[in-house]
Amino acid sequence: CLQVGQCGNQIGCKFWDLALQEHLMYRGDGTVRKSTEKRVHLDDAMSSFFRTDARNISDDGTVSTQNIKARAVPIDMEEGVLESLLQGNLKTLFDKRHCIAGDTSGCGNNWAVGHMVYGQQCLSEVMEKVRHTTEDCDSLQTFLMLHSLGGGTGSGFGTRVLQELADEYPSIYRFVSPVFPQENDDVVTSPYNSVLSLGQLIDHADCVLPVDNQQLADIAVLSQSPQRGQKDSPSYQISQPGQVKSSRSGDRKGGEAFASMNYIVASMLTNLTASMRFPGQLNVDLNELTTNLVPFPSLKFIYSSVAPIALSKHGCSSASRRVTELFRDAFSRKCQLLTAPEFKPTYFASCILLRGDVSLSDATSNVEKLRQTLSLAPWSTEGFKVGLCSVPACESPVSLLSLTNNSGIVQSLSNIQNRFVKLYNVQAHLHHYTEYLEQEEIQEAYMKTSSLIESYEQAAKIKLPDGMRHSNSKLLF
Amino acid sequence: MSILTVLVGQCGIQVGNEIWKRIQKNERTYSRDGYARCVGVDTEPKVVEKVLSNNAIYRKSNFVSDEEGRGNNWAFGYLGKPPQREQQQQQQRPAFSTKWRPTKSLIYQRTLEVIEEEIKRSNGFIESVIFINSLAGGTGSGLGSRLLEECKSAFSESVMYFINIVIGPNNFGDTAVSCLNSLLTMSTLIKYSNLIIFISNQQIFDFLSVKKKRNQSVTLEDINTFIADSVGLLLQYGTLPCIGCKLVSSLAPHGDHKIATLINHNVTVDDFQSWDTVLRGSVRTSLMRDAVAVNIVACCDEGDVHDLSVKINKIDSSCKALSFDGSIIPNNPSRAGRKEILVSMTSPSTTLLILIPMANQAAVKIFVGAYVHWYQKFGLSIDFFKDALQVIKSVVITNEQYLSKS
Repeated sequence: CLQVGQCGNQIGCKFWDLALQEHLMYRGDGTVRKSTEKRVHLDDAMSSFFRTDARNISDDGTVSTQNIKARAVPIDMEEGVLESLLQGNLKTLFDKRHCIAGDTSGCGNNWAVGHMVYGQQCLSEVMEKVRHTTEDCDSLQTFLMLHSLGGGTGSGFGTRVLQELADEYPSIYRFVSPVFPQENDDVVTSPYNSVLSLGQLIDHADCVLPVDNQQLADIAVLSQSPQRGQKDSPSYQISQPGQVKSSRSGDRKGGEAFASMNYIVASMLTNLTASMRFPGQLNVDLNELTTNLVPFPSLKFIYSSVAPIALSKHGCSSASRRVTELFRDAFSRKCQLLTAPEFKPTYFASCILLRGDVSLSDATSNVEKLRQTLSLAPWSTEGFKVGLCSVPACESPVSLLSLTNNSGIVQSLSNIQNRFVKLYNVQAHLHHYTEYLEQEEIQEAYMKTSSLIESYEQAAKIKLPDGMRHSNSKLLF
Repeated sequence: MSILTVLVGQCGIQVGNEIWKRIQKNERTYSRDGYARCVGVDTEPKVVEKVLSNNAIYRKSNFVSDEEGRGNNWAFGYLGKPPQREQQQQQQRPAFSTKWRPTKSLIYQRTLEVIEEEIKRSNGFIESVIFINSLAGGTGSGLGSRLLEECKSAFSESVMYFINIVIGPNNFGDTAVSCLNSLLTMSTLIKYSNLIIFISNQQIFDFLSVKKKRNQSVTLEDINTFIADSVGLLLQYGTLPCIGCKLVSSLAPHGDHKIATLINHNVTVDDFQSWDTVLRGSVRTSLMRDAVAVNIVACCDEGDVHDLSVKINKIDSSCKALSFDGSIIPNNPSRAGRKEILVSMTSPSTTLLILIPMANQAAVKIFVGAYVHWYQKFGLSIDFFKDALQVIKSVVITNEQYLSKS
């Protein structure tokens, strides 16, 4: 996991915290651990995400929870964030040797500074640390990158690292979870940063799961429990990012609100990887997800949504009803982690990952209903991949993560483009960028995003010729 | 003469494991040193580990696993890791680190070696190799197909029959790529297998859902148990000297007619139905009308054996199948009262029902160009898909012609 920039690192912290909580609560085979266990076996499930030095393993094969390290490389160009990370409650989780902090000046919300300047200075150091971390892996399958698109470090330097990963490790999947900037983002240059980053993501990421702050904030309000995540933590407590000093004006909302927003993204990420870590009736790993969700190479932007967003207050009705509620919530506009489009999108592929005690029948019946209510692409009417993981998430007995590839992404991408155009047409702030890169490169990034939007629109319009309407009794070819 | 089962992928191993619980221990099914004649392979370690730890009948060295799955990608399963990726993962471990391991040979090669060992243990001759795998995934379908092809070319002197038990997906488990995987698998099996026994998860799911009471739901275990009961009975629990011979001759009379489906009718002791009622229920004459090949295995009490065989002979004379085989297994006294009948048949109408929707769904994707890039990434060209479609088309045409003539 590479967490870049302030945003990336804050989300990363939450993610690791939650992942560790899960593993401390459940063993690799799904049985529940006692909360007083201070030493644990680093079983196969855990070791996909965590590691420890060989010397820390005692004779009985256990390791103190203090000695468990995350397979993570935190990166930032300012000291502040990483400092608080290494001094906060999760300090033992991150290996100081793997952290990269550039000099103290940061990127000034300038993608070009992050990508070009720091790209040159710090890249080899970063790749060295990455190499160290990967050497420890038995069978490296994926890189996960967390960052925001609106700032300078996460977007600029993050994408430079991504490009380098694509060069050096071409066959390892690269999953990226970027935070799209809000409409009223106070960072003036965020449209430039975003478009330049998108250009890179289109080229170098295998699968992109964007989220946006606006939606996350709305969901956090709905869940009405800003203190979430602090209950039942055996030996770890959630760090409070509110202490981080930052020039970002987003902090006006207060550290607590960000904590719950980050928590939502963290729970999306843990649910995404649950099937790889814990047993279940139908395992789904990231390879399978990517294969099923990406019908054409460029269409790799995936909507995600998590349910339940709030623990149901009126004690649970029957198990089936609960599952139906999960499906209903996950496909409602309010639960999407990226703003849902105004129009009804065409769905190309979907993946439903269920956790907890969910029966095959409940899953089947709900998916059938979905098939009828969603507008599916005619060439992909049966495209629903279902995963069942028997180990539930920490805070609720059953949960659902839905990942869909649909044409709604066009709206979010177009919004970013429109904001870009407003600035670009008057050449506002452009000189900050042209100091480091040519105008053509900026235009190129814009063109790439435009053609991606076009690809999505075209895919949504594909109609089968009449002779190819599905038939069960006659061959169509 | 010995049999050998090869379980490929998560589905194959889970179902195969259930089936083995019902197989009798004798020299055809178990080696002299007490281990089952069974090979298992999966590209992730989890399932293999679980099965080996729960069941002592398997020889541990017979189970081969790799570290990452095949991502629901037939091409990945069939062709294996591109050398680049293998190299990459090797590069992560510098030679001096404790984690370094010598390059493993490809997983299908390791499996072939294990199979060869089993052939040696059976004095160099195996009557039938029975593959069990799913159609829609990556490992079971892709690697399973590769293994069939390789075994056929490497061991045709030592193995008489190659039989495939395939499990088709249920409707919701139908992922976007499952039709492409199924297409590629079925076309390979049609080319190389002697007999394909097709089991549909969806059909079993529907059947069991009706039987279950309102609050209970059907689990994967239920489905796997049902499949194991049926296949166990089909294999007559390993008691026959030449099960492959019986199955192939009774169910695969012709190259274009070798896809068989099963109907299992199981009556519990408390349910006092007569054999007439059971036969009426299970042996639906409308289905039998166009059956090309029929195989019936029934379990009944000693006293009923004679009457039942007369009734089965009547069915034989009334149906127009090219081949018909009926067997009766008398119940052990411990299972007195049990009435179970398994009707397997190869018929053009079921063959068409299996092949046409699958091929159509795949054809649509190939036409639109969706998902094929995943296969091309591993070296599979569009022509490969088109060839597969042609294989299916020719079987479909033959079966349609047969139907129109009769």
